[in-house]
Amino acid sequence: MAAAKPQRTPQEVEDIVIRKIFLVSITEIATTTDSRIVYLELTAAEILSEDKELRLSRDCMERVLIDRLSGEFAGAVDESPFQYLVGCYHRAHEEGKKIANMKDKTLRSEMEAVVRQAKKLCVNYCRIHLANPELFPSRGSANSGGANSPLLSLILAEVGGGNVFGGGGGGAKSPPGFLEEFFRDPDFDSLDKILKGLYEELRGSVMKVSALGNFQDSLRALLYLVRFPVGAKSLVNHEWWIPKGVYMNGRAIEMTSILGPFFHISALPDHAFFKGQPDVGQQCFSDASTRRPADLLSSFSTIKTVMNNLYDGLAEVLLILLKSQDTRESVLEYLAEAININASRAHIQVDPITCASSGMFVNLSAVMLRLCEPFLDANLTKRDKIDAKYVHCSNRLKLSGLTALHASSEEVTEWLNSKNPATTGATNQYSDDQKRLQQSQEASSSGSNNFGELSNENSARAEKTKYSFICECFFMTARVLNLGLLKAFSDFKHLVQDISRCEDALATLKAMQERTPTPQAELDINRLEKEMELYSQEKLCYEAQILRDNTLIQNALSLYRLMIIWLVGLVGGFKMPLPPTCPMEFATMPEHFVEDAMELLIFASRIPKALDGVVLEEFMNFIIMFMASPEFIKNPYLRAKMVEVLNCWMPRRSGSTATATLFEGHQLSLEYLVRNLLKLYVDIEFTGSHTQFYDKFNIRHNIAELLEYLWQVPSHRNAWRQIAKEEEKGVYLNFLNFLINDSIYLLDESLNKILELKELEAEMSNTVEWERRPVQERQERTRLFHSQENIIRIDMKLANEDVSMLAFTSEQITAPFLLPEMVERVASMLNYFLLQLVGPQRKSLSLKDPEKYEFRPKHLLKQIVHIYVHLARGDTNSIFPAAISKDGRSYNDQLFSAGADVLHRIGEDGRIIQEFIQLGAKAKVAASEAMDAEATLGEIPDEFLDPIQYTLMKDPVILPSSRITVDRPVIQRHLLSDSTDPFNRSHLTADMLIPDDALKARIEEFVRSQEMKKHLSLQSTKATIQTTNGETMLVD
Amino acid sequence: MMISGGGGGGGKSSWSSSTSSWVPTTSVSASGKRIQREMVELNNDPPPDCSAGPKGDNLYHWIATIIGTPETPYQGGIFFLDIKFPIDYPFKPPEVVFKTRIYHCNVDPDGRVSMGILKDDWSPALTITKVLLEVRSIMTNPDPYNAVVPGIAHLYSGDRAKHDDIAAEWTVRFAK
Repeated sequence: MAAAKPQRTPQEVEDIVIRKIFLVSITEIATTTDSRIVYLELTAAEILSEDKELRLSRDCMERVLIDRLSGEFAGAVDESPFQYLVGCYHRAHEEGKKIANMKDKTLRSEMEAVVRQAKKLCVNYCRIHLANPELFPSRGSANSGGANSPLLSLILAEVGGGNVFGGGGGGAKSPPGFLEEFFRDPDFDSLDKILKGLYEELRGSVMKVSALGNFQDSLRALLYLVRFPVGAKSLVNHEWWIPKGVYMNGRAIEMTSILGPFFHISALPDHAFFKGQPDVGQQCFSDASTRRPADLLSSFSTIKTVMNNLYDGLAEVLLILLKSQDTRESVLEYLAEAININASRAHIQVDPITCASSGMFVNLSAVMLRLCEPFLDANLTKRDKIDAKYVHCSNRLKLSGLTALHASSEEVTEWLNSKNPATTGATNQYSDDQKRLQQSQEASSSGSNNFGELSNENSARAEKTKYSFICECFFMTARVLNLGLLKAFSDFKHLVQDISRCEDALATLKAMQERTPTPQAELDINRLEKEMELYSQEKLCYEAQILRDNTLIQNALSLYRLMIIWLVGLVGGFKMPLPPTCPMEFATMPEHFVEDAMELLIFASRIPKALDGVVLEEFMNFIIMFMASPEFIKNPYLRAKMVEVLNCWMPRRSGSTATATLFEGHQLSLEYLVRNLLKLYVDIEFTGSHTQFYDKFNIRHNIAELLEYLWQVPSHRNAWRQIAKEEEKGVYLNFLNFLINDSIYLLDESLNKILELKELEAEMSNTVEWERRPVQERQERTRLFHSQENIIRIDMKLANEDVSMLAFTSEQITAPFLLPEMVERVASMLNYFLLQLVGPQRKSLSLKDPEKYEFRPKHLLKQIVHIYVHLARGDTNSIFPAAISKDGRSYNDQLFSAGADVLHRIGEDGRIIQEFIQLGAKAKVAASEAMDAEATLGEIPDEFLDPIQYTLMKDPVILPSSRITVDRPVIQRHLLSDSTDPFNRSHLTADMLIPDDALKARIEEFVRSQEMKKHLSLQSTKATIQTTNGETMLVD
Repeated sequence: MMISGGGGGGGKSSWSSSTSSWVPTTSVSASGKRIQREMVELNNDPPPDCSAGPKGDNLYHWIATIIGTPETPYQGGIFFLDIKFPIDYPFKPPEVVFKTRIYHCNVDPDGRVSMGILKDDWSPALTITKVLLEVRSIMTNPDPYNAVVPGIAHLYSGDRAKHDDIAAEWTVRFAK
């Protein structure tokens, strides 16, 4: 009789499941079974000794595992304890799937519990093993890399991509649910060590990796771990989260902190020792001119994509940390530390050994901008959360040492003290320290970091305030952009200049080489070509990572728009005029906030499409409000930079009608733009050092370009005329004075240099004589020749611009030119240049290629003549002809007729010529009258002569401090350029002049007396004639 | 004749704001009166070891001479200087250029004199007499802190004897 096979008991099923999961047996192994199965002799013995059935159960599961891990089994598979445990977890998962199909609910439920317990046990022992690798014996070859490598391999497999590490299991994926269970332990301590080890390995894996290296897996792994609460906590508690030590500097924090090497990943150039691999420049851009454009574009696209992956990943890591109360502070501290310790990146020369790389800070810039996104909405609804006091009172970020918009560090301190009188005692103590510190600073010309730190301590005592994340993030981002993105733009600009200089040097050397080949020149050429290649690669790297990333640039512009709107809020909003006194909240803000905004606008304006969709109105209004407001923004260079922004936006420059709206469609622009440009033109009057002198002309050139454009816009032209009327003796007169000063200087300088250049040219063209000179002297003369060429071209260009402005404005605005203190110098200027252009010396100014030097004598002559004619038309009191003829240096009878002859030849309008001739005739009459008047006066007593010009005074005034009497037009002319008493340099303004009525009366009496004498003399002459005959008869 | 035409015997002519055929028919300009007065006073009371006056008939372009001061490396040298008056004189400073080469930290390789009163510190109350006195003064006491030739200033401060030897040598070569 055949009996039915009996059903297995639950205990039997449990035994089978456990044996399969752990690949163990407690009975002798038959040769036909799985060779991986290990016979656990000890465990079997223990079970038997307890008088139990020889069967595995939940109760003895842990003992089984310990026995398996502790023993050295000859037949075991060659794998590490970790790999074994992961395998167990995997098999548990597989058994779990089978169990799910069991029909017996009770049995299924029990078996599921077994599987869960097995999994949990595996996870626990994985943790134990990783935390204490020496606890269980391990086969050496299976455990390459760090102790955590096996776990890291699983994580990397989990987050995608290939397995970058060696070791068994090559690319094996983690069992489903294993990692989640591993990291979701409420007991932080058990995981902390493991996690820290993982972070160190991840950090090491991206050390010295460039944008083209494989960092993506590591980044994803980092992100994966940070999503677990224990992962986040462990990261910020790592001793290298913010490394400490006396050696700590910017570069050290970049290379040593856990996140530092991730931020270091970049396409940008770096110091050779720290540079990431593969070398982006070399791989993508070497010999760029020989590469196909499509290949270059592909490289640009690849770099932009991978870098944005990095930005997104790092931003997400930080966001996760910031969202948790446990880790937020640590993130802010890390960011602040990185910023503070790299403050010297703001210097022109950055030490690559002690400062973090540009790559790190550009990456940090991009990441910070992503963190700002929530409060960069179109309406900037959260800007009220930004607290200006953060700049002074933050314990975290060192901002108070930075140059302020309109306050010295002493003024800032004084203001802060006045706001916190309760802490006067402590403040006084620190004030003393500050004074000593300032003295030592002044003595040593050291930076202001120390002062900033002390100031922070001082402020910290005054106030310990908690600031919102938005507030902290805003200021940190502003600072990071200054040290990162803006610094990179600056470096790029210098790189472009270096390339340009190299090209010039190379061209010069090659030209010399063709004429006189020498081995040295050949070596120099080769060296320069190598240098050029490196520069070219670097330039393309910048282009790839920054210039072609419009999103990055536009995000930065969004932040600066918030900055500008927020700053304007500190002075009461977008409206003019500005408050009479600058609020200290505004004055104490770091200057670089505005400077960086302007710098970015300039740079973005030169990148195609970078400004597409960007709202510029607030920037425009900010510029109009502050560019001519030294009471709010002290630095004239910063205000000049605002003009540069406007230059970029001029419709004909930008090629965009969108920017035309900024100039022509806004109330603030229509009312104040011209006025403030004229005012700034006057403010920019520094003639100190050599570079400052040229800076002045560059800045005024930018202003002149704008003014020329605005004159063509009817509404702005009307505003201009209105200003000229209202400010005839104020801003407008000052503007005109400096415009004439510049015109005279530049045109005179250009014409003189042309003569010098022609001499040099003659020297060089005499081949025999030239070759006879020593090589060094020839090189020196050649260098001088090119230098003179450059000067002429620049000066002539600027002169043309200024003369042009005089010509077009004088057509409709003549009164200021004809003021007593102005008319004579206008006339003598015009006469002088007319003489150069039509007088005997004009042939000396002929050039082979005048256009090369922007020298257009015909056009220049026409403009000079137009100015003469315009002023004559406006000369209702007929004072202009007299001023023309009074100039004895350049004026003479033939001047105007010679000019008319040339005008006929070059084809000027007949009516203009006619008016010009008429003016000449009037000048001749005036000259004749003046000679008669002078003859009448005869010898003039010294006391009636102006001591500066030695002309007869008409309106004498006393200078209050030197007590010297001068003629009013003479001193007023001086005061237009210099507000000092010329005799003792003390301060002097026009309203301080004291009329000398007594002397005036005596002068007038003298003139009348001389005229009377002349009259009598005429009568006397007649009488003498009559008497002569009588006398003759008497003698006879 | 076109102003910018080539050829046509454009021989170099001496720099001058007027020639005999263009003699002014009016009195001198305001700056001319001032310059004439200076010329008279300079002749009446010349500064020591200095002389100056118009070059030819051009009132606005002077030649000056300074004799090197005893007990300086320039001793015995005769130094010629060009003085040009700008259109805006006396509201702008004159241009002063050594035509005789001189080894001096405040004179650039082209001979231009770098002094405060010829730049920002100029005042309309100053005169050529005062300018010449000041030039003579810096020949006696160079100002290395405002040098226009750093190398010479460095030598002056670091090895005065050598500096003076070189200056004396230049004086012998160029100024005697």
